[in-house]
Amino acid sequence: MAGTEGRSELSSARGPIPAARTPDHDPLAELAALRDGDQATFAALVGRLHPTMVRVASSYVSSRAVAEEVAQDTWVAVLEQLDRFEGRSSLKTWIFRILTNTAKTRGVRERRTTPFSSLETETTGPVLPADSFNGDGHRWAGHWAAPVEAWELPEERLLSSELGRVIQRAVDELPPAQRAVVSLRDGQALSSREVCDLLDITEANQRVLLHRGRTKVRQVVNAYVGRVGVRL
Amino acid sequence: MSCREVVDVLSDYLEGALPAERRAALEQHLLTCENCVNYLQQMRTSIALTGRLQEEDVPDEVMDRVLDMFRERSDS
Repeated sequence: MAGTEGRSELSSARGPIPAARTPDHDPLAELAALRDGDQATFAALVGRLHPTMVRVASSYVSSRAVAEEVAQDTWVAVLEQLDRFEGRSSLKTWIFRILTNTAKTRGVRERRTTPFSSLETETTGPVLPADSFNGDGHRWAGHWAAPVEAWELPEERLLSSELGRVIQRAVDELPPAQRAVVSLRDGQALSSREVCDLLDITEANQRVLLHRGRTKVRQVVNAYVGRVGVRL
Repeated sequence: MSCREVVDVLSDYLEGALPAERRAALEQHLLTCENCVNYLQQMRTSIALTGRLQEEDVPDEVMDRVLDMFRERSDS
């Protein structure tokens, strides 16, 4: 059944706003199981969060290796403080809060400025290449210069690990602030409020970073669709 | 509204953050522009695909290390 659900989420969506992803686990039951020492629950949690934790940490620190250390240090802190977690935020948000604090501290020690302190380079310039649209003198100025073809990806392509890796690489290659925002918003389905709080950015900046990051990821997928030749 | 403007405000539209008038103008544009309808649909698919980041593999040695820590905590 999982495959059928995946397809409906990926290829339907005609309404104005994407349907929220519903968590496939009960947060309260998850927390109780963790406190109870249920290893399978913890492994599933690590599986869902750890790669994104490394990706977000990498926005603050000097290398992927340091980001991996930050993520592992975060798990140490999570396990130490699990009994003190009061549930005022979701467990996921709490873990990412510990992660960003740990990453910031590590970044300061490395004498790095946070990518969120000066966003100008990530938020200026056209979102798509200028030649995507007809120029001012054109009869259809501001309209697409070339047709935008619908993607028709068969389900096995949509769910393939190859496309999964394409997406991972696309997000990894985003500029640091966009990478963190896209990873948390679209990768982990956190709300804009939660992401603004975690990264200490304004709602307006969050939206610009999200938009630019999403646009780049879409371009990478578009190139992939063109390469695998399944466009109809 | 032109296609370029649609692309510029698409995330705001998807976030429900466009003022009503702009939203209406965008939806009016979509009624007659297949390219922008396709672009919007691509964006939705791309966003949904990004949700697959939760399915990435954690390297075995990392998983083993954090599971060891978890067991130590549970045993103590």
